[in-house]
Amino acid sequence: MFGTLFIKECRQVLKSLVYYIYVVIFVLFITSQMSGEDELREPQPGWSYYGETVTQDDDLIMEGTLAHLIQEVGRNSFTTYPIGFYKEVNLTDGEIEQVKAILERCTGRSFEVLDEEMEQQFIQNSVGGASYQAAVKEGLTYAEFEAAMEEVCDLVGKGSFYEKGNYENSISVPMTYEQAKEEFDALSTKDGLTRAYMRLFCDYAGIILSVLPIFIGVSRALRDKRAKVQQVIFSKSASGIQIIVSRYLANLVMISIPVFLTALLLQQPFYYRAQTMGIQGDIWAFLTVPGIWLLPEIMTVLAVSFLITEFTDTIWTIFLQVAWAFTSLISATTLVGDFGLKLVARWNTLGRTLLYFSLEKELFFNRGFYFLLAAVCVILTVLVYEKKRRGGESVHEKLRKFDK
Amino acid sequence: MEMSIEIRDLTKNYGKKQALSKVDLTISQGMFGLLGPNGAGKTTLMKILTTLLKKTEGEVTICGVPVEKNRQIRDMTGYLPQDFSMYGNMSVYEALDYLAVLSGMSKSERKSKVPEMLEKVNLLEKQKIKVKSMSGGMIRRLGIAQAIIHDPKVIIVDEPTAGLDPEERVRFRNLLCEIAKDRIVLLSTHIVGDIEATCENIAVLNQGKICFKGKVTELLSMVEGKVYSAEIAAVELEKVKEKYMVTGILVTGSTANIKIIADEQPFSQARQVQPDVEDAYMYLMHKEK
Repeated sequence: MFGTLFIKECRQVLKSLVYYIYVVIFVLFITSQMSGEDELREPQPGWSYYGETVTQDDDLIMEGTLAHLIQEVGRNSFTTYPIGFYKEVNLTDGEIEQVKAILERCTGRSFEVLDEEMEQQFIQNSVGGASYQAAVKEGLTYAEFEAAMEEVCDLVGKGSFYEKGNYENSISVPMTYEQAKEEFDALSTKDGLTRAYMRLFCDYAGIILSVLPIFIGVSRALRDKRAKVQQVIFSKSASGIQIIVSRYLANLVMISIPVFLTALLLQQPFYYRAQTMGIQGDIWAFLTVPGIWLLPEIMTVLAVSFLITEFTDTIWTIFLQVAWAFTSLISATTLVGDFGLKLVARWNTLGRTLLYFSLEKELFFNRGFYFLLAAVCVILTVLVYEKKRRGGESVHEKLRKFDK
Repeated sequence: MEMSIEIRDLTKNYGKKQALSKVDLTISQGMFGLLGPNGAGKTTLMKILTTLLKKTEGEVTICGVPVEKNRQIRDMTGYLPQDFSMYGNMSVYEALDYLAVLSGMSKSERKSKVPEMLEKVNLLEKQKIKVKSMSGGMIRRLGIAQAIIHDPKVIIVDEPTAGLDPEERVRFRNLLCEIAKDRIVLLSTHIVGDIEATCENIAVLNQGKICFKGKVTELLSMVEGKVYSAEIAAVELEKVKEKYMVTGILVTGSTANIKIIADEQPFSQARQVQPDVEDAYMYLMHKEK
């Protein structure tokens, strides 16, 4: 029964206008974002700029981190991710004074002086992308700096920039030729070029896929109610698991097909380009990279839309999930990495292979979390469905009765 | 296995509101009519029998199986809900095939049964048209096809003829009688004519309680000798309606032919007539008030 239901659900998706709108928007969005992403050359000595890399230099880390702290103190707005999700922290006047004292201890200058210096840097570096620095006090050791940042963390709370693991992976500096060459070699050998390209594809696709599947999920979950077929389907012998899981999987597969097809089509020119550059490209990157990167996201977005729509019998989930996607996007401290538990995993660059491999475990943890979350949501949807089937009411129906 | 539905002391509460109160009923093979005004609790009873609602108290068994055994009950019942419909973008064939899958039928079973059922409900020639293009009568016929396709022992139909034109209504009633030959068909309706034309055994439900159960002839015997017909002046109509239970009025110019239920002859020109089920039902409802 399950296989037949699955195929019939796939056919239903193919008859849905919402699905075709999804396909058109997805393809247009991706092709418009991915065009022109082909500037890839082997670095040569003598270039003036080789791109940026995360520094391992203690002095630069301290200067960059303190500059970041000066800016956040100035706004009294600290970005944190206590449980992986964005949270803005505002300190009390007393706490701000404590942080200013820490800054003074590390730099030997008052906050007012530091703020003025920062403003001067801003005026001088009017072109975007400039990295700000605050010179540290002479004799400040890295251990003292670490201790000072721990004090900041105590005040600001968990998940701030001032945690050791965060600031040590966030301060960027221009690359040298040797670094650029090492990065390019990693891109060629470890990524086979196509995997790096697919990560960039996943970055753009992940943005739009945090929203579009919501509409397909809501449309499917409300279709029974709109068509007045709930009662007759409830009375059939098929179990809630068979009905919900076949619907879920059918929608998941139908949403994924255009994603993988687009990935394949966009990957092919890069695959042939890799060959011409003497690089062994990964022909299966269009499956493996989006499979790990995007599939858990699509699964979660779809499962949550199924669950909330089945639970409420309304379209409320659209507003809720769009807000979730938006928060995930604006909360990223960087467009390359900073996965945390964000729904949308960003990698807005072609390359930085070495950084990727250093963060791969974090990405796997993030995607594993969303895979499990999706599974939990599907199980909950089945339970809600079975409850409704035995005379349970959706939240919307309960509220309507309460209103009367 | 016994072919009957046994309902004992069935009570259903929605919060503080009691929809069914201590309902006792035995329904045997053949057509059984459940009559009652809107809001009497008929749909609640149907939904309990089809596992769509949990009972509050009492016992219900269908062919010996307690109604709590959802899967078994769903296997042995076919349900045509009051407002049956299907996905508009499906063809008649696809819709029936989809519902047959949900009833657990294999591909080979569906291949033979779907056309057979469509033929039975006279929709075979229309199998390719979309559900959204079907008339109310056609949708109802598709509804009965999906209710019987898995060959259930019990078929429960809730207000199946509401909104149908007279021809469709007769055709639908005949179809129900045909399929009731070797099954239990429970027909719930507030349309007395449907019951009169199809059922021998009936129950009348009012405000969640059974106020009559038995054969149609027994219901009729309650008003035997109490139904009168008379021709009166149209201007007297209001006065007569205040005094007696009037079950039929036909106004022709200045005169009105009326049908009255009364324990004794209401006036000299009134003559006793043969009661029909509608008279008996009205009498029963009046007594209940």
